[in-house]
Amino acid sequence: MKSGGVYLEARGLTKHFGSAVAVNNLTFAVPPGSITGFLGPNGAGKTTTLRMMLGLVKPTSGAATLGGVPFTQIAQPARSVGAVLDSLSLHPKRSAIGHLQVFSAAIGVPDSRAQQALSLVGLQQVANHKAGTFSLGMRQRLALATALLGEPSVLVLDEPANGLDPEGIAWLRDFLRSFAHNGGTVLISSHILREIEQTVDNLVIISRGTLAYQGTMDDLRHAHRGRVLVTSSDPAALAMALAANGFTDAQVHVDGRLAVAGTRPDEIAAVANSAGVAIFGMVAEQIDLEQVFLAMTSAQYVAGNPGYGGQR
Amino acid sequence: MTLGLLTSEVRKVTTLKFWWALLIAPLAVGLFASAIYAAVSNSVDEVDSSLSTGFASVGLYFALAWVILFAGIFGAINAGTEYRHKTLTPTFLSASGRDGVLAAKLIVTVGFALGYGIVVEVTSFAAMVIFGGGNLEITGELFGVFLVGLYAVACWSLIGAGLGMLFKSPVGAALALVAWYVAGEFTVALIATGFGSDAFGSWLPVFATIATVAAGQLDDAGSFRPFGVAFVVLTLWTMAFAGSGWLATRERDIT
Repeated sequence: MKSGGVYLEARGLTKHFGSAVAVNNLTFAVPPGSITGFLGPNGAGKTTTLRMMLGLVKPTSGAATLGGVPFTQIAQPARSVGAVLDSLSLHPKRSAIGHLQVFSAAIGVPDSRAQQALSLVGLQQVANHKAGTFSLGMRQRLALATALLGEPSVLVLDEPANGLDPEGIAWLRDFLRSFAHNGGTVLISSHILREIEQTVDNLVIISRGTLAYQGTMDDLRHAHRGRVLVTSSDPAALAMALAANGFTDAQVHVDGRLAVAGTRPDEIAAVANSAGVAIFGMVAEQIDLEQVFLAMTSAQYVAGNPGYGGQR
Repeated sequence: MTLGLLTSEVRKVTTLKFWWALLIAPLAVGLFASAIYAAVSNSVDEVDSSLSTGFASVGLYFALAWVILFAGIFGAINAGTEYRHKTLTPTFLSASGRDGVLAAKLIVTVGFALGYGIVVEVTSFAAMVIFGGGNLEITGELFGVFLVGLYAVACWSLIGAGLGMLFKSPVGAALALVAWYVAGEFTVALIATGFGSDAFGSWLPVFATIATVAAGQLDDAGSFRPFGVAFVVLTLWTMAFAGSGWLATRERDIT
């Protein structure tokens, strides 16, 4: 991999398909040496945005750059950016190694690199098998091998976990972490936060083609941190004692329990003990980030209430 | 365009089987038609032969008709399959700009089509020599037909590639090409004749191809343009289809 990170930026990206607005004035940045998750429900405009960033779809307005240069002006694009946009971008009658050698020639890397890329994604055993015989997960890996042929410093991956089994997802997570650790920049899209929660450092969340959130995972967790619900002999005294110890985010619920954010049960117990407040019980309430994500994004194509047979 | 892009396009063809499968039919037709016409030419020549290249060469024209059609089908499949299997996405991500990729694809398409043409012509010629013996008139005109035949093969491979890019489908483009080549154009020409426009058909691509491949032997025939005009008409049709396909692929969103 090349040394030195590359910033990936979108500035005011907008795309209209006829009267439909797929992406609307989208601005975000993907810092080098990090993994940025690009999240949004199905139909939010993720794929269109990624294709605009890679010069495959022309923006109605706005621009995207890699290291300050539009993709279409990069002399050897595959040596800068590797992309997996569609696991079906393979001819089913072509062997895996044949597929890679088609693109190794176009990129200008030796054929031996095709074999290396296959080994990187664990497909060396099926190098001569036709892509049409591959499972969806294997096709994803072959598509990733294609993206890695040019040893790029930036990876753009559109829903790469689709079709991967848990082992494959864990492998992808480790691979991307290693890639970013070596200075690589990764932009990875998904419509499920949980799928990439443990992989990404930063998040860009879009809904209906517009930006809903941009920041780090830590910031998102901090903004929606869990609370501890404390049942005590004197909630008001406990709240004052906690405030005196720096834990100011405490509220008394209507049921009399004290909801404390930003601390742990053992710290609350210690404060209560020193303040002479008896504690009868504590419940840690975890905030599900997936729910936060769903609240941020209004799904464009919503089904009715889940369940079967409700109309009978 | 770089040597790498050309190599890549060659590999796109050679890593699949359709390219040699498409050669089988014109090769077989060319071989047998040339052998049969050359073999019977001795008796038929006594009756009549309006061909300046001799009756023994009739099989060559059958061979050319078939190889031109299959070169077109090759071009349609080679270009259309990029859309069918979405390999256009990694292709455009591998190169700087689309023009180089498209130029490489068209050059390689013409290269393979000329390969078809040469193999079929050489086979046809060999069959004519073997089975026609002294009845075959090996003249400059015959080699002229070989050359314009190769030109027509190249043109139709580009027409096919243009259709493949316009239709975004190998099957649709190939079917449209075959339908037009075999029956469509003659039907249109017939209808135009019915409306009193006898010359209309002669400006269409198949009629222009026939007049081109005839290399002047049909200059006095009413349904065809003279060789020079037909050659230019065929070239213009080729430029129109290949250029339209190029422009469409260059400008359209790859989704």
